[in-house]
Amino acid sequence: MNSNKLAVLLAQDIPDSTDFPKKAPFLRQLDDSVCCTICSKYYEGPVSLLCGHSFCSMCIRENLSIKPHCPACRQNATEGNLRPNLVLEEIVSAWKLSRPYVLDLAKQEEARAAEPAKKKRRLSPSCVAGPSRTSSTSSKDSSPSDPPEGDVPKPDSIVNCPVCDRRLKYKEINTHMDNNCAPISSVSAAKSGAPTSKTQKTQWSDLMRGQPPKSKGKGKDKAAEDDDYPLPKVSYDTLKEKQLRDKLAEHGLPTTGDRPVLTRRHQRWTMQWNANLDKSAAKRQTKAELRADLKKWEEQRKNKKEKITVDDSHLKTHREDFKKLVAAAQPVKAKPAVPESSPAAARSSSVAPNPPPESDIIVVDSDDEIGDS
Amino acid sequence: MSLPKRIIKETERLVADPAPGITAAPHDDNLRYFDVTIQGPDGSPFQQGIFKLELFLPEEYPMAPPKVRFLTKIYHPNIDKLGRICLDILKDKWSPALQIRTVLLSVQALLSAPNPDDPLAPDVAKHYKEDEQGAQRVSREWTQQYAS
Repeated sequence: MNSNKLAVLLAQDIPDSTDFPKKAPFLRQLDDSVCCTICSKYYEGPVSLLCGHSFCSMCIRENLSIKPHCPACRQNATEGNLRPNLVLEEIVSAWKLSRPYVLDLAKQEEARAAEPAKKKRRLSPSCVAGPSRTSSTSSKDSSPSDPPEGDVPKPDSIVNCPVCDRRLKYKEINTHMDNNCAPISSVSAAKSGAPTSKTQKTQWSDLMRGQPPKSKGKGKDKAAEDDDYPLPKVSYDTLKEKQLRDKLAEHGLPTTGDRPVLTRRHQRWTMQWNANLDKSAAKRQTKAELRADLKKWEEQRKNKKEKITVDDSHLKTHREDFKKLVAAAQPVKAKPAVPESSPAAARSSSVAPNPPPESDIIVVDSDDEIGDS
Repeated sequence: MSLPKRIIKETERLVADPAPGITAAPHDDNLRYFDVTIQGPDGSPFQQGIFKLELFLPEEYPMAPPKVRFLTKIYHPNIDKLGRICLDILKDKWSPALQIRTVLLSVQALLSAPNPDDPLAPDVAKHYKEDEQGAQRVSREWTQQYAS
């Protein structure tokens, strides 16, 4: 029964904590703990709630639009509570890089344990090589403790700036940071040519440019241009259809479809947009990618609808069968006073049409899915 | 890839590493539709029974709960004669952090701890409230008759 598709399904190589040997439960735990409990994938733009639980930004936003509480502990939560969990994001990317290597080591270890006679061999050198690779990624992450743990680096050794992550000589790092992370050459130039008030001015204006964009004038257009600001929630009921279309057009989104379609599109876009901002700047998707995602999502929804209409023809062809079933069920309904006498009949009639109509829809659905993949 | 990764992962684990007393296998023609069996928990009137259930993952899963139904007849205050189950996590207390496995474990736990104060089968619940021993005897008889 469970032959082809299930086999195909299970043969897919999807990273899962069970890839690690059973004897390394802590590795399984580690692998699980960097996965979102909603989508089971590695966290994408992880955010934390007030209760401390973390989820992918998109997953939790979608969930909060349905139920305003944490999926893990049911504590009340709103979108306003979401805070990007940057450390977790870094852990995930470091783990993704080190996972194949650790997995390989764990498997080697397991194989070695299976061969009883041979003793420890030269696994140790590779063991040493391993953590060093991992720590090269993670040392970047642990920026606050950056001067490599233990001894103070020599003046000429290269370190990462804890602010901008640029690599420079240790002796230059203070000057570099004092000058707002300017490249060292320009700093020294400025130093030689007396720090004029002019440079300070430009620096201040650089700093201030990070503040809300000129809120005068056409605020709407500006908001669309500025990629760093989350989109506010919209009360769609108060908008006219034209306004809704304008809002979509602002972001270069299609303005076709009726009101519910437009609303859903804008809601989804807002969700995607804001979730994207919860990722660290380097990992963010471009506008075009977000638009492509939205298009894909809409197409999937459309397909679903079409499949249901296909199902109408199924209803037509089986009309006679359904009539018979209804007829068979009706006597049961007619005498509700004695439910105890006919539970078997009720049960058999409800169970008999084996895949219920609902799952019929899905049969079509999953067929296509498998064909596609 | 339109079957969500989460469903594939859950299926993999259910098949490779089933929870004790529970089996769940998807239909080959519909990977969202599972055949489930649950063993009656020891110490309950359903002990030694093997109950068949069906489980279906709707399109919205995991944002919406799976649909679960008993196919085997069972005498239980929270399960009606159509096999529908009264369990909060299958309704309003659903959370996407729950899984097929946890849902089925909860159903198994429900067999050990019938709750006649929140009935779905009022007559069975009444029986359980008024004469627990007698009701348990019927549950045992039904288990023997239909679930073994």
